Amino acid sequence: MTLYRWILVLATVLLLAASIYTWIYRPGSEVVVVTTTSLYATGFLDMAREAYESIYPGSIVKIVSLGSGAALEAASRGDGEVVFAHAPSLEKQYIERGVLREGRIIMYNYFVIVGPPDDPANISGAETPIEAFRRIYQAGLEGRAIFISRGDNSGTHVKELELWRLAGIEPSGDWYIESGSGMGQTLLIADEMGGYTLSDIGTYVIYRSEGRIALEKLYEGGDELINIYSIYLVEGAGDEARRFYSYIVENIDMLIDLFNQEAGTKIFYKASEYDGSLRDTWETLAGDAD
Amino acid sequence: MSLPGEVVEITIRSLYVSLTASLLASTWSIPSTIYAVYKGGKLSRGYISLMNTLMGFPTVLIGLLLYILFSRSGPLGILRLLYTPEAMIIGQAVLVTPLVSSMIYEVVSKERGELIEMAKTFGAGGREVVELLVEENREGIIGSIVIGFQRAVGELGIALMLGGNIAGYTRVFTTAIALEIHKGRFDLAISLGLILLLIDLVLVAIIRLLGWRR
Repeated sequence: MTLYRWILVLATVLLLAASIYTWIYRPGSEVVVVTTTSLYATGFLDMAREAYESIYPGSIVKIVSLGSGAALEAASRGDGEVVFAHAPSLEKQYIERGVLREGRIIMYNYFVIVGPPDDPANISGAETPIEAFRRIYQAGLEGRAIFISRGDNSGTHVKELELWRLAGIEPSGDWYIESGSGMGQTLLIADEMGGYTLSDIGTYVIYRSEGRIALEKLYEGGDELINIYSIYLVEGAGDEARRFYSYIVENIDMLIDLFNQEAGTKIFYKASEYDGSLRDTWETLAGDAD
Repeated sequence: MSLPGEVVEITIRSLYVSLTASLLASTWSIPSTIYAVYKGGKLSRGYISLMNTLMGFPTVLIGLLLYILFSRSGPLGILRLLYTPEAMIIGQAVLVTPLVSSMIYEVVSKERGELIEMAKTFGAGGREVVELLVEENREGIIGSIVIGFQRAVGELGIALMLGGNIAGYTRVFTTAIALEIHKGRFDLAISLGLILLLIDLVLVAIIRLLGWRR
């Protein structure tokens, strides 16, 4: 047999083998989950997936980690059946477009403003995160501070833009840098450049405990910095997707306990722990963007 | 991601996907390049300029275009290819086609005189011509496929956009490395990178040796 025939045969056999493998070992049922990166990178969703698959053997949960904006867009194209997101204003747009059939707030935590330990903009003395952002802006104009933005339409980026808007600031200039990358990469850039950034607490805690960054948590707490995670079932999703969705909604408090226990620190809070109505807070955040 | 079993699994998947992709690319790159060389003149020059230009096409853009094509609401959505290893194979095959074609062009264009002689005997574009020419340039052709494989196994954009980095299904070396970096586990990312490099080196050595044997 000549070499070219070998190539033809081998390519065909390998391609066929892949298709046959996919076909034979296709699970009894499967669900494609698209998610914000923070829930995946912290390991929360892998833990939830393992718990679910152990109860329903033969079911396969395929998790694609994209960021809130990209995850919602993928869902609207029919490429995801269950969505995890933490960007209320974006979520609301997709709910109004009829992409999401039903949804539930599952948990929350807080964003933190992190920055260099010497805190040149003195944000740790700020009363509100809005004031902290104003101080960063002022110091930025004077050349004493820089801010690193995600710039990627993720939940964290959406939150950051909302804070600038509330502060009445149009963020642009030499002091404002868009990383266009994920949270981890953005924290590394902020650390290298001695800049401030807004981070979800989960990613920050991981990077900090691994010793990757020296950034300090300079401002935290307050309803302005609340970070609300929701789960959605996408219009047209299959039975397996519905079952997974219901499982998460019903068992979320157990999963949060399990996760926080393994992490050794409280990274996520149950919706029931919130003092007041989380739904109202969500509505306020969602409405703000209109 | 820490178990040796998972690393082995990712290794096998990476090799499988990228090997299939580079072989697939060569099934069409070989005859089309040989035909272009045979025709010579404008067609040949145009062909090679096109391939050289496409070599610089950003991988994420190829990924995005194929994503739109394979997406459930896209023209080929019915095939349900998105987030499967097959989608990664197709994407990587598209990616390495210009590279493999250019490499084969280098090899075959030196043999143009002989190619025309052969074509007189068998007819232009005949399978015998392709097979004989490939046979006589074994080493160069295998080398081209190996370079295509190396390009495919090391790329991230297509694997991530079309495969989705799904654990146990479409996770390959580069997407696993990207994920571990995202998780802040740089040591694991570096280990994975070194394993990829090592496998690449060993594989290339084996294939080159086999090529020289004959």
